[in-house]
Amino acid sequence: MAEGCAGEVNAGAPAIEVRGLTHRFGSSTVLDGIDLSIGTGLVYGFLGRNGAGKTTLIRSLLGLLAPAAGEIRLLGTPVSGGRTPADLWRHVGYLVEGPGLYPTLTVQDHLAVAARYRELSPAAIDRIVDQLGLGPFSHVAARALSLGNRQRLGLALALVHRPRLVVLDEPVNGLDPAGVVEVRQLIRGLADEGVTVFMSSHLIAEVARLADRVGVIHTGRLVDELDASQLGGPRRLVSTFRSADAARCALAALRAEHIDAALSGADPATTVESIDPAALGAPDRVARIIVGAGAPPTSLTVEHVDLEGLFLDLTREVAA
Amino acid sequence: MTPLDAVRAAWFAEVLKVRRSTVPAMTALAAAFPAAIAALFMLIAADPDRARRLGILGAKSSLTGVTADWSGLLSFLAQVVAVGDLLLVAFIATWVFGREAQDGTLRYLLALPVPRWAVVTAKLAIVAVWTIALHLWISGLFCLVGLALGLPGATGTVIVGGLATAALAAALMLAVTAGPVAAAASAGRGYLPPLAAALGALLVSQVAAALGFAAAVPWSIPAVAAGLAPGVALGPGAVLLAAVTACAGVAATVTWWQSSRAGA
Repeated sequence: MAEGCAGEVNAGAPAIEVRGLTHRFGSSTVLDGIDLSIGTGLVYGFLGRNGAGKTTLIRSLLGLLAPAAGEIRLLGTPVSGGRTPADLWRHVGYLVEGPGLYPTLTVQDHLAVAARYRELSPAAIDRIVDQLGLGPFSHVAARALSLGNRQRLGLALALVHRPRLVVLDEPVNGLDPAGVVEVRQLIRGLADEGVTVFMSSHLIAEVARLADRVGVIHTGRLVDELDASQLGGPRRLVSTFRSADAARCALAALRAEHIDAALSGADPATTVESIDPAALGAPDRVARIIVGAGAPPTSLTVEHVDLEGLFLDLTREVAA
Repeated sequence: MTPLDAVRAAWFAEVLKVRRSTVPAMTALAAAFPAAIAALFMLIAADPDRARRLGILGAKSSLTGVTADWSGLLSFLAQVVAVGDLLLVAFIATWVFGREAQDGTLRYLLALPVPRWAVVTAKLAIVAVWTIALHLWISGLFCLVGLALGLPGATGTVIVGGLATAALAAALMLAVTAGPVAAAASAGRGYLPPLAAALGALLVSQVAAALGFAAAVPWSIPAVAAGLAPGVALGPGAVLLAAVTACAGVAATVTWWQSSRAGA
Protein backbone atom coordinates (compact mmCIF):
# COMPACT_ATOMS: atom_id res chain seq x y z
CA MET A 1 0.00 0.00 0.00
CA ALA A 2 1.21 3.49 -0.75
CA GLU A 3 1.61 5.70 2.25
CA GLY A 4 1.76 9.40 1.47
CA CYS A 5 3.56 10.80 -1.53
CA ALA A 6 3.19 8.06 -4.10
CA GLY A 7 4.70 9.50 -7.27
CA GLU A 8 6.03 12.97 -7.69
CA VAL A 9 4.23 16.07 -8.88
CA ASN A 10 6.87 18.40 -10.36
CA ALA A 11 9.22 18.08 -7.43
CA GLY A 12 11.21 21.22 -8.24
CA ALA A 13 8.25 23.59 -8.64
CA PRO A 14 7.11 26.04 -5.97
CA ALA A 15 4.46 24.53 -3.73
CA ILE A 16 2.03 27.33 -4.59
CA GLU A 17 2.27 29.62 -7.57
CA VAL A 18 -0.42 32.19 -8.29
CA ARG A 19 -0.31 34.70 -11.13
CA GLY A 20 -2.77 37.56 -11.58
CA LEU A 21 -5.53 35.83 -9.66
CA THR A 22 -8.72 37.83 -9.86
CA HIS A 23 -12.10 36.83 -8.58
CA ARG A 24 -15.37 38.68 -8.71
CA PHE A 25 -18.70 38.16 -7.00
CA GLY A 26 -21.07 40.09 -9.29
CA SER A 27 -19.63 43.56 -9.68
CA SER A 28 -17.50 43.26 -6.55
CA THR A 29 -13.83 42.37 -7.03
CA VAL A 30 -12.88 40.08 -4.19
CA LEU A 31 -9.39 39.17 -5.37
CA ASP A 32 -7.53 41.71 -7.42
CA GLY A 33 -4.52 40.42 -9.36
CA ILE A 34 -2.90 38.35 -6.63
CA ASP A 35 0.64 37.13 -7.33
CA LEU A 36 2.11 34.62 -4.95
CA SER A 37 4.98 32.18 -5.01
CA ILE A 38 5.61 29.94 -2.04
CA GLY A 39 8.59 27.63 -1.95
CA THR A 40 8.59 24.17 -0.47
CA GLY A 41 9.07 23.45 3.21
CA LEU A 42 7.81 26.82 4.40
CA VAL A 43 5.05 27.78 6.78
CA TYR A 44 3.31 30.65 5.04
CA GLY A 45 1.03 32.65 7.27
CA PHE A 46 -1.79 34.49 5.61
CA LEU A 47 -3.42 37.40 7.38
CA GLY A 48 -6.34 39.59 6.49
CA ARG A 49 -9.33 41.25 8.03
CA ASN A 50 -12.79 39.73 7.70
CA GLY A 51 -13.89 39.99 4.07
CA ALA A 52 -10.35 40.73 2.86
CA GLY A 53 -10.43 37.75 0.51
CA LYS A 54 -8.58 35.10 2.55
CA THR A 55 -11.14 32.34 2.20
CA THR A 56 -11.83 33.19 -1.44
CA LEU A 57 -8.12 32.85 -2.17
CA ILE A 58 -7.94 29.53 -0.33
CA ARG A 59 -11.00 28.21 -2.12
CA SER A 60 -9.54 29.31 -5.43
CA LEU A 61 -6.24 27.60 -4.61
CA LEU A 62 -8.08 24.34 -4.09
CA GLY A 63 -10.11 24.66 -7.27
CA LEU A 64 -13.33 25.17 -5.37
CA LEU A 65 -13.92 28.54 -7.04
CA ALA A 66 -13.39 29.49 -10.66
CA PRO A 67 -11.31 32.67 -10.88
CA ALA A 68 -12.29 35.42 -13.30
CA ALA A 69 -8.65 35.61 -14.37
CA GLY A 70 -5.27 34.29 -13.43
CA GLU A 71 -3.45 31.05 -13.05
CA ILE A 72 -2.90 28.75 -10.08
CA ARG A 73 -0.42 25.93 -9.79
CA LEU A 74 -0.06 23.64 -6.81
CA LEU A 75 3.14 21.61 -6.77
CA GLY A 76 3.57 22.64 -10.40
CA THR A 77 0.18 21.29 -11.47
CA PRO A 78 -2.47 23.69 -12.82
CA VAL A 79 -5.57 23.77 -10.66
CA SER A 80 -8.73 23.93 -12.67
CA GLY A 81 -11.81 22.64 -10.85
CA GLY A 82 -12.98 19.29 -12.13
CA ARG A 83 -10.18 19.19 -14.68
CA THR A 84 -7.50 19.14 -11.98
CA PRO A 85 -5.71 15.78 -12.14
CA ALA A 86 -7.16 13.70 -9.31
CA ASP A 87 -3.67 12.47 -8.46
CA LEU A 88 -2.71 15.97 -7.26
CA TRP A 89 -4.95 15.48 -4.21
CA ARG A 90 -2.65 12.66 -3.06
CA HIS A 91 -0.12 15.37 -2.27
CA VAL A 92 -2.40 18.07 -0.92
CA GLY A 93 -4.30 18.14 2.34
CA TYR A 94 -6.63 20.85 3.47
CA LEU A 95 -8.96 22.06 6.14
CA VAL A 96 -11.13 24.92 4.94
CA GLU A 97 -14.09 26.56 6.64
CA GLY A 98 -14.24 23.86 9.27
CA PRO A 99 -13.91 20.11 8.98
CA GLY A 100 -16.35 18.40 6.62
CA LEU A 101 -17.58 15.53 8.76
CA TYR A 102 -20.45 13.08 8.52
CA PRO A 103 -22.38 13.47 11.77
CA THR A 104 -23.08 9.76 12.30
CA LEU A 105 -19.65 8.45 11.32
CA THR A 106 -17.14 7.89 14.09
CA VAL A 107 -13.57 9.14 14.17
CA GLN A 108 -12.44 5.66 13.15
CA ASP A 109 -14.99 5.55 10.30
CA HIS A 110 -13.79 8.87 8.90
CA LEU A 111 -10.21 7.70 8.93
CA ALA A 112 -11.16 4.32 7.46
CA VAL A 113 -12.84 6.09 4.56
CA ALA A 114 -9.77 8.28 4.06
CA ALA A 115 -7.59 5.16 4.15
CA ARG A 116 -9.68 3.55 1.40
CA TYR A 117 -9.70 6.62 -0.82
CA ARG A 118 -5.99 7.25 -0.34
CA GLU A 119 -4.79 3.64 -0.13
CA LEU A 120 -3.22 4.10 3.29
CA SER A 121 -2.01 1.42 5.63
CA PRO A 122 -3.46 0.94 9.14
CA ALA A 123 -0.12 2.21 10.48
CA ALA A 124 -0.75 5.58 8.84
CA ILE A 125 -4.10 5.83 10.60
CA ASP A 126 -2.61 4.82 13.96
CA ARG A 127 0.13 7.42 13.58
CA ILE A 128 -2.22 10.34 12.94
CA VAL A 129 -4.58 9.20 15.71
CA ASP A 130 -1.65 9.24 18.12
CA GLN A 131 -0.31 12.55 16.83
CA LEU A 132 -3.61 14.32 17.34
CA GLY A 133 -4.66 12.55 20.50
CA LEU A 134 -7.79 11.12 18.94
CA GLY A 135 -7.39 7.64 20.44
CA PRO A 136 -9.95 8.04 23.24
CA PHE A 137 -12.53 9.27 20.74
CA SER A 138 -12.09 6.58 18.06
CA HIS A 139 -15.61 5.25 18.50
CA VAL A 140 -17.33 8.58 19.05
CA ALA A 141 -19.62 9.87 16.29
CA ALA A 142 -18.59 13.22 14.81
CA ARG A 143 -21.79 14.89 16.01
CA ALA A 144 -20.88 14.01 19.61
CA LEU A 145 -17.36 15.45 19.41
CA SER A 146 -16.46 18.76 20.98
CA LEU A 147 -15.57 21.65 18.67
CA GLY A 148 -11.90 21.12 19.43
CA ASN A 149 -12.02 17.40 18.71
CA ARG A 150 -13.92 18.01 15.49
CA GLN A 151 -11.08 20.32 14.52
CA ARG A 152 -8.53 17.64 15.46
CA LEU A 153 -10.35 15.15 13.27
CA GLY A 154 -10.42 17.66 10.42
CA LEU A 155 -6.67 18.11 10.81
CA ALA A 156 -6.19 14.34 10.94
CA LEU A 157 -8.06 13.97 7.64
CA ALA A 158 -5.98 16.76 6.11
CA LEU A 159 -2.70 15.21 7.21
CA VAL A 160 -3.25 11.45 7.30
CA HIS A 161 -1.82 10.90 3.81
CA ARG A 162 1.36 12.88 4.60
CA PRO A 163 0.75 15.53 1.94
CA ARG A 164 3.50 17.72 0.51
CA LEU A 165 1.28 20.78 0.71
CA VAL A 166 -1.18 21.54 3.47
CA VAL A 167 -3.68 24.39 3.30
CA LEU A 168 -5.21 25.23 6.65
CA ASP A 169 -7.88 27.81 7.32
CA GLU A 170 -7.93 28.74 11.02
CA PRO A 171 -6.26 25.48 12.10
CA VAL A 172 -6.41 26.16 15.86
CA ASN A 173 -10.03 27.23 15.83
CA GLY A 174 -11.86 25.74 18.82
CA LEU A 175 -8.78 24.09 20.33
CA ASP A 176 -7.93 24.43 24.01
CA PRO A 177 -4.53 25.94 24.94
CA ALA A 178 -2.89 22.51 25.07
CA GLY A 179 -4.37 21.69 21.68
CA VAL A 180 -3.04 24.94 20.25
CA VAL A 181 0.46 24.02 21.40
CA GLU A 182 0.12 20.50 19.95
CA VAL A 183 -1.04 21.80 16.59
CA ARG A 184 1.70 24.40 16.58
CA GLN A 185 4.29 21.67 17.14
CA LEU A 186 2.62 19.53 14.49
CA ILE A 187 2.77 22.31 11.90
CA ARG A 188 6.36 23.13 12.75
CA GLY A 189 7.19 19.44 12.49
CA LEU A 190 5.57 19.24 9.07
CA ALA A 191 7.68 22.13 7.81
CA ASP A 192 10.78 20.48 9.24
CA GLU A 193 9.92 17.41 7.16
CA GLY A 194 9.75 19.57 4.04
CA VAL A 195 5.98 19.97 3.90
CA THR A 196 4.70 23.37 2.81
CA VAL A 197 1.99 24.75 5.07
CA PHE A 198 -0.24 27.58 3.88
CA MET A 199 -2.10 28.79 6.93
CA SER A 200 -4.62 31.52 7.41
CA SER A 201 -5.55 32.69 10.86
CA HIS A 202 -7.06 35.55 12.75
CA LEU A 203 -4.56 34.88 15.53
CA ILE A 204 -1.70 37.18 14.60
CA ALA A 205 0.47 35.96 17.48
CA GLU A 206 0.03 32.38 16.28
CA VAL A 207 1.04 33.31 12.73
CA ALA A 208 4.00 35.34 14.00
CA ARG A 209 5.15 32.40 16.08
CA LEU A 210 4.82 29.79 13.34
CA ALA A 211 5.27 31.37 9.94
CA ASP A 212 8.49 31.58 7.99
CA ARG A 213 6.86 34.09 5.71
CA VAL A 214 3.73 36.17 6.12
CA GLY A 215 1.41 37.64 3.50
CA VAL A 216 -1.13 40.33 4.27
CA ILE A 217 -4.23 40.59 2.12
CA HIS A 218 -6.50 43.60 2.22
CA THR A 219 -9.48 44.43 0.03
CA GLY A 220 -8.50 41.62 -2.33
CA ARG A 221 -4.90 42.70 -2.82
CA LEU A 222 -1.74 41.20 -1.39
CA VAL A 223 -0.44 44.38 0.24
CA ASP A 224 2.76 43.04 1.77
CA GLU A 225 4.87 39.98 2.34
CA LEU A 226 7.64 39.70 4.85
CA ASP A 227 10.02 37.09 6.17
CA ALA A 228 10.00 36.01 9.77
CA SER A 229 13.57 37.32 10.00
CA GLN A 230 12.22 40.84 9.47
CA LEU A 231 10.02 40.59 12.53
CA GLY A 232 11.52 42.13 15.64
CA GLY A 233 13.84 44.45 13.70
CA PRO A 234 13.67 48.28 14.03
CA ARG A 235 10.78 49.75 12.11
CA ARG A 236 10.38 53.42 13.08
CA LEU A 237 12.18 55.95 15.24
CA VAL A 238 9.85 58.34 17.05
CA SER A 239 11.03 61.50 18.86
CA THR A 240 8.59 63.54 20.92
CA PHE A 241 9.17 67.19 21.87
CA ARG A 242 7.67 69.69 24.32
CA SER A 243 6.75 72.14 21.57
CA ALA A 244 6.10 72.28 17.85
CA ASP A 245 9.04 74.70 17.49
CA ALA A 246 11.39 72.15 19.05
CA ALA A 247 10.05 69.46 16.73
CA ARG A 248 10.58 71.64 13.66
CA CYS A 249 14.09 72.49 14.85
CA ALA A 250 14.94 68.79 15.30
CA LEU A 251 13.50 67.96 11.86
CA ALA A 252 15.65 70.61 10.21
CA ALA A 253 18.74 69.30 12.00
CA LEU A 254 18.08 65.73 10.90
CA ARG A 255 17.49 66.74 7.30
CA ALA A 256 20.69 68.74 7.36
CA GLU A 257 22.41 65.47 8.22
CA HIS A 258 20.61 63.78 5.28
CA ILE A 259 18.35 61.75 7.50
CA ASP A 260 14.85 61.44 6.08
CA ALA A 261 12.21 62.32 8.70
CA ALA A 262 8.79 63.92 8.96
CA LEU A 263 6.57 65.67 11.44
CA SER A 264 3.63 63.72 12.70
CA GLY A 265 0.87 63.91 15.24
CA ALA A 266 -1.81 66.48 15.82
CA ASP A 267 -1.40 70.05 14.59
CA PRO A 268 0.80 71.63 15.88
CA ALA A 269 2.92 68.51 15.46
CA THR A 270 5.29 67.73 18.32
CA THR A 271 6.57 64.40 17.03
CA VAL A 272 9.23 63.58 14.47
CA GLU A 273 9.25 60.15 12.87
CA SER A 274 11.83 58.48 10.70
CA ILE A 275 12.00 55.14 8.94
CA ASP A 276 15.33 56.03 7.34
CA PRO A 277 17.75 53.12 7.85
CA ALA A 278 20.38 55.69 8.80
CA ALA A 279 18.23 56.68 11.75
CA LEU A 280 17.01 53.19 12.61
CA GLY A 281 20.55 51.84 12.64
CA ALA A 282 21.99 54.62 14.83
CA PRO A 283 19.46 56.05 17.29
CA ASP A 284 22.29 57.39 19.47
CA ARG A 285 23.47 59.52 16.54
CA VAL A 286 19.96 60.86 16.05
CA ALA A 287 19.83 61.76 19.74
CA ARG A 288 23.14 63.63 19.46
CA ILE A 289 21.96 65.55 16.38
CA ILE A 290 18.72 66.78 17.85
CA VAL A 291 20.21 67.54 21.28
CA GLY A 292 23.02 69.38 19.53
CA ALA A 293 20.42 71.41 17.63
CA GLY A 294 19.06 72.64 20.97
CA ALA A 295 15.89 70.57 20.82
CA PRO A 296 16.15 67.83 23.45
CA PRO A 297 13.31 65.34 23.06
CA THR A 298 11.05 64.29 25.89
CA SER A 299 11.27 60.76 24.52
CA LEU A 300 13.05 58.93 21.75
CA THR A 301 11.76 55.48 20.93
CA VAL A 302 12.73 52.85 18.40
CA GLU A 303 9.62 50.89 17.47
CA HIS A 304 10.23 47.34 16.35
CA VAL A 305 8.46 45.38 13.69
CA ASP A 306 5.74 43.40 15.31
CA LEU A 307 3.26 41.62 13.15
CA GLU A 308 0.23 43.00 14.89
CA GLY A 309 1.32 46.63 14.48
CA LEU A 310 2.40 46.04 10.91
CA PHE A 311 -0.85 44.31 10.06
CA LEU A 312 -2.93 47.11 11.53
CA ASP A 313 -0.82 49.75 9.77
CA LEU A 314 -0.99 47.98 6.43
CA THR A 315 -4.69 47.36 6.49
CA ARG A 316 -5.41 50.87 7.83
CA GLU A 317 -3.15 52.60 5.31
CA VAL A 318 -4.64 50.79 2.36
CA ALA A 319 -8.14 51.47 3.61
CA ALA A 320 -7.29 55.16 3.94
CA MET B 1 -5.52 3.15 -8.06
CA THR B 2 -7.51 1.46 -10.81
CA PRO B 3 -10.97 2.79 -11.72
CA LEU B 4 -12.49 -0.31 -10.13
CA ASP B 5 -10.55 0.31 -6.91
CA ALA B 6 -11.80 3.91 -6.95
CA VAL B 7 -15.41 2.76 -7.24
CA ARG B 8 -14.82 0.21 -4.47
CA ALA B 9 -13.39 2.89 -2.18
CA ALA B 10 -16.38 5.15 -2.86
CA TRP B 11 -18.76 2.23 -2.35
CA PHE B 12 -17.12 1.47 1.01
CA ALA B 13 -17.69 5.09 2.06
CA GLU B 14 -21.31 5.13 0.92
CA VAL B 15 -22.13 1.82 2.61
CA LEU B 16 -20.60 3.07 5.83
CA LYS B 17 -22.68 6.26 5.73
CA VAL B 18 -25.84 4.21 5.24
CA ARG B 19 -24.93 1.68 7.94
CA ARG B 20 -24.27 4.35 10.52
CA SER B 21 -27.51 6.19 9.81
CA THR B 22 -31.01 5.65 11.12
CA VAL B 23 -32.49 6.86 7.83
CA PRO B 24 -32.60 3.38 6.21
CA ALA B 25 -34.56 2.07 9.19
CA MET B 26 -36.92 5.03 8.87
CA THR B 27 -37.49 4.33 5.19
CA ALA B 28 -38.14 0.66 6.00
CA LEU B 29 -40.67 1.74 8.60
CA ALA B 30 -42.33 4.13 6.15
CA ALA B 31 -42.38 1.40 3.50
CA ALA B 32 -44.20 -0.91 5.95
CA PHE B 33 -47.09 1.52 6.25
CA PRO B 34 -48.68 0.60 2.86
CA ALA B 35 -48.63 -3.08 3.91
CA ALA B 36 -50.62 -2.18 7.00
CA ILE B 37 -53.08 -0.24 4.85
CA ALA B 38 -53.28 -3.22 2.48
CA ALA B 39 -54.09 -5.52 5.39
CA LEU B 40 -56.82 -3.15 6.51
CA PHE B 41 -58.31 -2.92 3.01
CA MET B 42 -58.24 -6.70 2.59
CA LEU B 43 -60.04 -7.14 5.92
CA ILE B 44 -62.70 -4.65 4.92
CA ALA B 45 -63.13 -6.03 1.40
CA ALA B 46 -63.35 -9.61 2.71
CA ASP B 47 -66.30 -8.80 4.99
CA PRO B 48 -67.66 -5.22 4.73
CA ASP B 49 -70.43 -5.91 7.28
CA ARG B 50 -67.92 -7.05 9.89
CA ALA B 51 -65.85 -3.94 9.15
CA ARG B 52 -68.91 -1.74 9.71
CA ARG B 53 -69.65 -3.51 12.98
CA LEU B 54 -66.06 -3.00 14.12
CA GLY B 55 -66.28 0.66 13.18
CA ILE B 56 -63.44 0.60 10.65
CA LEU B 57 -65.79 1.36 7.78
CA GLY B 58 -68.51 4.00 7.78
CA ALA B 59 -72.13 2.75 7.77
CA LYS B 60 -72.80 3.93 4.22
CA SER B 61 -69.28 3.53 2.90
CA SER B 62 -67.83 0.84 0.70
CA LEU B 63 -64.48 0.04 -0.86
CA THR B 64 -64.69 -0.02 -4.61
CA GLY B 65 -62.17 -1.72 -6.83
CA VAL B 66 -60.63 -3.74 -4.03
CA THR B 67 -61.02 -7.49 -3.96
CA ALA B 68 -59.96 -9.53 -0.98
CA ASP B 69 -57.72 -11.96 -2.82
CA TRP B 70 -54.09 -12.25 -3.92
CA SER B 71 -54.82 -10.55 -7.20
CA GLY B 72 -56.33 -7.55 -5.41
CA LEU B 73 -53.52 -7.46 -2.86
CA LEU B 74 -50.75 -7.48 -5.47
CA SER B 75 -52.63 -5.00 -7.62
CA PHE B 76 -52.62 -2.70 -4.60
CA LEU B 77 -48.85 -3.32 -4.25
CA ALA B 78 -48.34 -2.26 -7.86
CA GLN B 79 -50.36 0.92 -7.23
CA VAL B 80 -48.31 1.76 -4.16
CA VAL B 81 -45.05 1.20 -6.03
CA ALA B 82 -46.13 3.08 -9.14
CA VAL B 83 -46.91 6.21 -7.15
CA GLY B 84 -45.13 5.92 -3.80
CA ASP B 85 -41.78 4.86 -5.18
CA LEU B 86 -41.37 8.25 -6.81
CA LEU B 87 -41.24 9.82 -3.37
CA LEU B 88 -39.23 6.96 -1.92
CA VAL B 89 -36.53 7.01 -4.61
CA ALA B 90 -36.48 10.82 -4.52
CA PHE B 91 -36.01 10.78 -0.76
CA ILE B 92 -33.15 8.27 -0.94
CA ALA B 93 -31.36 10.00 -3.82
CA THR B 94 -31.79 13.35 -2.08
CA TRP B 95 -30.25 11.99 1.09
CA VAL B 96 -27.37 10.30 -0.71
CA PHE B 97 -26.48 13.27 -2.93
CA GLY B 98 -27.93 16.33 -1.22
CA ARG B 99 -26.44 15.74 2.21
CA GLU B 100 -22.90 16.28 0.95
CA ALA B 101 -23.53 19.96 0.38
CA GLN B 102 -25.73 20.21 3.47
CA ASP B 103 -23.10 18.65 5.76
CA GLY B 104 -20.22 20.61 4.23
CA THR B 105 -18.51 17.44 3.01
CA LEU B 106 -18.85 18.14 -0.71
CA ARG B 107 -15.73 20.32 -0.86
CA TYR B 108 -13.71 17.42 0.51
CA LEU B 109 -15.27 14.85 -1.82
CA LEU B 110 -14.33 16.97 -4.82
CA ALA B 111 -10.66 16.97 -3.90
CA LEU B 112 -10.02 13.27 -3.48
CA PRO B 113 -7.47 11.31 -5.46
CA VAL B 114 -10.20 9.35 -7.22
CA PRO B 115 -12.17 10.25 -10.33
CA ARG B 116 -15.37 12.04 -9.43
CA TRP B 117 -17.41 9.75 -11.63
CA ALA B 118 -16.38 6.91 -9.32
CA VAL B 119 -18.04 8.71 -6.41
CA VAL B 120 -21.19 9.30 -8.49
CA THR B 121 -21.25 5.65 -9.56
CA ALA B 122 -21.05 4.46 -5.96
CA LYS B 123 -23.76 6.89 -4.91
CA LEU B 124 -26.12 5.83 -7.70
CA ALA B 125 -25.39 2.19 -6.87
CA ILE B 126 -26.28 2.73 -3.23
CA VAL B 127 -29.53 4.43 -4.28
CA ALA B 128 -30.34 1.42 -6.45
CA VAL B 129 -29.44 -1.18 -3.83
CA TRP B 130 -31.34 0.69 -1.12
CA THR B 131 -34.43 0.99 -3.35
CA ILE B 132 -34.30 -2.66 -4.37
CA ALA B 133 -33.92 -3.73 -0.73
CA LEU B 134 -36.95 -1.65 0.23
CA HIS B 135 -38.91 -3.07 -2.68
CA LEU B 136 -38.11 -6.62 -1.55
CA TRP B 137 -39.06 -5.64 2.00
CA ILE B 138 -42.41 -4.15 1.04
CA SER B 139 -43.18 -7.02 -1.36
CA GLY B 140 -42.37 -9.47 1.40
CA LEU B 141 -44.67 -7.64 3.80
CA PHE B 142 -47.50 -7.74 1.28
CA CYS B 143 -46.99 -11.48 0.88
CA LEU B 144 -47.07 -11.86 4.65
CA VAL B 145 -50.36 -9.97 4.73
CA GLY B 146 -51.77 -12.33 2.10
CA LEU B 147 -50.60 -15.39 4.01
CA ALA B 148 -51.72 -14.08 7.40
CA LEU B 149 -55.21 -13.26 6.14
CA GLY B 150 -55.43 -16.50 4.18
CA LEU B 151 -56.48 -14.69 1.02
CA PRO B 152 -57.89 -16.84 -1.76
CA GLY B 153 -56.45 -17.11 -5.26
CA ALA B 154 -52.87 -17.90 -4.29
CA THR B 155 -51.88 -19.41 -7.60
CA GLY B 156 -48.34 -19.27 -8.91
CA THR B 157 -49.44 -17.27 -11.93
CA VAL B 158 -51.19 -14.63 -9.85
CA ILE B 159 -48.42 -14.27 -7.30
CA VAL B 160 -45.48 -14.35 -9.71
CA GLY B 161 -47.32 -12.14 -12.20
CA GLY B 162 -48.35 -9.64 -9.53
CA LEU B 163 -44.88 -9.44 -8.01
CA ALA B 164 -43.30 -9.14 -11.45
CA THR B 165 -45.59 -6.26 -12.38
CA ALA B 166 -44.75 -4.44 -9.16
CA ALA B 167 -41.05 -5.13 -9.70
CA LEU B 168 -41.23 -3.75 -13.23
CA ALA B 169 -42.98 -0.61 -11.98
CA ALA B 170 -40.36 -0.24 -9.24
CA ALA B 171 -37.48 -0.69 -11.68
CA LEU B 172 -38.93 1.88 -14.05
CA MET B 173 -39.50 4.36 -11.23
CA LEU B 174 -35.95 3.86 -9.99
CA ALA B 175 -34.64 4.47 -13.50
CA VAL B 176 -36.61 7.62 -14.25
CA THR B 177 -36.23 9.16 -10.80
CA ALA B 178 -32.77 8.41 -9.38
CA GLY B 179 -30.69 10.23 -11.99
CA PRO B 180 -32.79 13.39 -12.31
CA VAL B 181 -33.17 13.72 -8.53
CA ALA B 182 -29.44 13.12 -8.04
CA ALA B 183 -28.74 15.88 -10.55
CA ALA B 184 -31.18 18.24 -8.81
CA ALA B 185 -29.70 17.44 -5.39
CA SER B 186 -26.15 17.96 -6.65
CA ALA B 187 -26.80 21.18 -8.54
CA GLY B 188 -29.23 22.42 -5.91
CA ARG B 189 -26.71 21.66 -3.14
CA GLY B 190 -29.21 20.46 -0.60
CA TYR B 191 -32.47 18.76 0.15
CA LEU B 192 -35.19 21.16 -0.96
CA PRO B 193 -34.54 21.49 -4.72
CA PRO B 194 -34.66 17.73 -5.43
CA LEU B 195 -37.67 17.18 -3.20
CA ALA B 196 -39.48 20.06 -4.87
CA ALA B 197 -38.59 18.58 -8.26
CA ALA B 198 -39.94 15.19 -7.17
CA LEU B 199 -43.21 16.70 -5.98
CA GLY B 200 -43.48 18.54 -9.28
CA ALA B 201 -42.87 15.29 -11.17
CA LEU B 202 -45.53 13.55 -9.09
CA LEU B 203 -48.04 16.28 -9.86
CA VAL B 204 -47.26 16.27 -13.58
CA SER B 205 -47.46 12.48 -13.74
CA GLN B 206 -50.86 12.46 -12.03
CA VAL B 207 -52.23 15.10 -14.37
CA ALA B 208 -50.78 13.30 -17.40
CA ALA B 209 -52.33 10.01 -16.30
CA ALA B 210 -55.71 11.67 -15.76
CA LEU B 211 -55.56 13.19 -19.24
CA GLY B 212 -54.58 9.91 -20.90
CA PHE B 213 -50.98 10.89 -21.60
CA ALA B 214 -49.38 8.62 -19.02
CA ALA B 215 -47.03 7.06 -21.54
CA ALA B 216 -45.69 10.47 -22.50
CA VAL B 217 -44.47 11.50 -19.04
CA PRO B 218 -41.51 9.57 -17.59
CA TRP B 219 -42.82 9.46 -14.03
CA SER B 220 -46.23 8.04 -14.98
CA ILE B 221 -44.71 5.26 -17.10
CA PRO B 222 -44.42 3.01 -14.02
CA ALA B 223 -48.16 3.43 -13.53
CA VAL B 224 -48.66 2.31 -17.12
CA ALA B 225 -46.48 -0.72 -16.41
CA ALA B 226 -48.60 -1.44 -13.33
CA GLY B 227 -51.77 -1.34 -15.43
CA LEU B 228 -53.10 1.73 -13.66
CA ALA B 229 -53.65 3.80 -16.81
CA PRO B 230 -56.75 2.40 -18.53
CA GLY B 231 -56.36 2.14 -22.27
CA VAL B 232 -52.64 2.93 -22.23
CA ALA B 233 -50.18 0.12 -22.85
CA LEU B 234 -46.47 0.01 -22.09
CA GLY B 235 -45.06 0.31 -25.59
CA PRO B 236 -41.51 0.67 -26.87
CA GLY B 237 -41.92 4.44 -26.97
CA ALA B 238 -42.59 4.62 -23.25
CA VAL B 239 -39.69 2.30 -22.48
CA LEU B 240 -37.43 4.41 -24.69
CA LEU B 241 -38.61 7.58 -22.93
CA ALA B 242 -37.84 6.02 -19.55
CA ALA B 243 -34.39 4.96 -20.75
CA VAL B 244 -33.64 8.41 -22.14
CA THR B 245 -34.79 10.06 -18.91
CA ALA B 246 -32.61 7.74 -16.84
CA CYS B 247 -29.57 8.33 -19.04
CA ALA B 248 -30.13 12.09 -19.09
CA GLY B 249 -30.38 12.19 -15.30
CA VAL B 250 -27.21 10.18 -14.82
CA ALA B 251 -25.38 12.20 -17.46
CA ALA B 252 -26.46 15.48 -15.83
CA THR B 253 -25.28 14.24 -12.43
CA VAL B 254 -21.90 13.07 -13.71
CA THR B 255 -21.44 16.28 -15.70
CA TRP B 256 -22.15 18.40 -12.64
CA TRP B 257 -19.70 16.46 -10.49
CA GLN B 258 -17.03 16.47 -13.17
CA SER B 259 -17.22 20.22 -13.64
CA SER B 260 -18.19 21.40 -10.18
CA ARG B 261 -15.93 23.52 -8.04
CA ALA B 262 -18.23 23.21 -5.02
CA GLY B 263 -17.79 26.75 -3.88
CA ALA B 264 -19.10 28.86 -6.74
